[in-house]
Amino acid sequence: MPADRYWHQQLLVGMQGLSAFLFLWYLFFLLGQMLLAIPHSFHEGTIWQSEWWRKP
Amino acid sequence: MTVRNDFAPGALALSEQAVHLLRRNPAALADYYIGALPFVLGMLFFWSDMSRNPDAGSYCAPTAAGLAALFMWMKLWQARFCRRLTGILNDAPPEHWSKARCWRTAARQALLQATGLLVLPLAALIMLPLGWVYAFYQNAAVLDGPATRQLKGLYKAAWQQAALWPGQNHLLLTIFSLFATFVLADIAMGLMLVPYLLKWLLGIETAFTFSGMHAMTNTTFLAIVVALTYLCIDPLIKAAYTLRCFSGLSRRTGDDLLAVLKPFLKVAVIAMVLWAGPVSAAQMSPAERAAQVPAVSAQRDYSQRLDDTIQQVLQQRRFAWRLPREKSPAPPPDERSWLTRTLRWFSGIITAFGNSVNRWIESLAEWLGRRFPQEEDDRATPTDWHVLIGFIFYGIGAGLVMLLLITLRRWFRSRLSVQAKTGSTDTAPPIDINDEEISAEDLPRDRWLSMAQELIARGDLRQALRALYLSVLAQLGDSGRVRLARFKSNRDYLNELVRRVHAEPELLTRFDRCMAAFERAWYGMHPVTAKHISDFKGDQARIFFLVQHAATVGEPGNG
Repeated sequence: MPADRYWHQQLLVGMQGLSAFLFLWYLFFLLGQMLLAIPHSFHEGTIWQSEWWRKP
Repeated sequence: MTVRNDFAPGALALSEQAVHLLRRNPAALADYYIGALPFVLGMLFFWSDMSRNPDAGSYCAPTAAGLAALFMWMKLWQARFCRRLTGILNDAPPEHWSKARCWRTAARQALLQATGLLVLPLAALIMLPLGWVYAFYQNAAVLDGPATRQLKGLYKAAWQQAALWPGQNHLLLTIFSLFATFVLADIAMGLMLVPYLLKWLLGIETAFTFSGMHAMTNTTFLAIVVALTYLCIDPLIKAAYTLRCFSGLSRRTGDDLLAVLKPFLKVAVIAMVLWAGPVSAAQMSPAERAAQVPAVSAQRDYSQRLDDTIQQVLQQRRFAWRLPREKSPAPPPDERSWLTRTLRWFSGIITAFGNSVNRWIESLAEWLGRRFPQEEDDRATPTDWHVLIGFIFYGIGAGLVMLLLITLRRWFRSRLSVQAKTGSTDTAPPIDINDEEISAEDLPRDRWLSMAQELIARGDLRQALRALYLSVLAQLGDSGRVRLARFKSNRDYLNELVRRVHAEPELLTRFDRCMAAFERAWYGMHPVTAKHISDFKGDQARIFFLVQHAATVGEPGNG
């Protein structure tokens, strides 16, 4: 394989890996923000213990 | 090119083959779990931390970066797992994975599979393309080998295989969805029952036994159940899609035939050697033939022994299914699909059941006809027995209506009694202060205080101290300093208070003193005197003042 083609291939692989990593990073960051935004009572399950069906 | 569906392996057979493939090669699972376990553990840590830790927002970004790296690691090893299974199917030696190949595979897989995190939920929302999209992402992991070095080639190959045999693909997904549902329920029940087994057999109390069924409603528990289900099911799904791709590709390469024929090639070589011997002997001169006579007879003995051995082996039970059944003619092949046959069988059972019920009703009518002769009832003639059946069904309907009315009446009465109990709690509290299961959230602060006063008046100082301590907790819970939960320990409340109200050192000191006094008296052997009660009440009043003062000046409770 010629040297310039080899470096082109390496660059392509690097770009693929980097873009995938950045995209995944952003997705997991959004997931973390979503979890932080959910109320504490929902995470702990105490929201279901308030017997809301008996309230008028 | 049109493809006949006859070549498609059935979905049920494919799932069975996947199970057998994994059972015969458990070492391949090591490849899968080397990649999947770190990611799943990291994801659970991330989930738990982001959902509970109030400071988690400050390091969400670096944690997400770590999770992205673990995802890439998992996808690399999933591709290796699928390649290993493909090698087993082809009866090929394990492939060599150089460092450069690992990097290339990780980059390709990460880029393709990362889009799946967005595309798969969207496809599930639309529902119609989900089967094809899911198969595409599974195929992308399976087909990432030397033949698909470029991303474009991998993409095209995965789509080609995903478009193949859609009926089989959707049926396969249905089977795995049902299976996953059962696995999910099993794991959830197992996780709930193990703490109770520990409690009953070893006396070990855990957060699950303290909080009962409420432990199932927190999101971390649900995330753990889903993660364990994924770890159980996903290798099986990947094995099934590896088999599916193997069948799909074999339509052009014939790899499946080669894999089936390989064990028989050795026998064919021996047969060719044995056949070549007599042919070469026929071409010899008489002198050469005379010289070869002992060798030929020895070879004939050898071939005779080989035939006998083959016959003996074929008589064994495990090879019996390969032999033709000459005694009984084979039944004509059923052209209908298995689904049609199953539905026919099911409808036959229902029809037989209906006929049985019909016979019972007729027998009942005959019996009633004998018991009540014709002259006693002019309307009920032997021919119009259905009038009797009509009366019976009217009776059953009336009974059901009565049952419904009785149930409704009981429900209204029980509801009224509950309301009456709720209204009468002001005068007679149903709380037993000695009960270890009670929590500060069971009563408001004032009720705990009044209970403490009653207990002090009766001289039950130890119980009064507990009521006072619970009033402190209720006060802190009302003001948002802590979140009351049945499974939390005193140390949990103290840690929560340290985290939330570090700007109020006096509140922390007072609560710490209250907690120590309560634990000394309740869990230890320290006697409780009037001075202890008076000191405790002083701390409790001060805590009440601090909380009220903060609320008056507008300081946030959970700053």
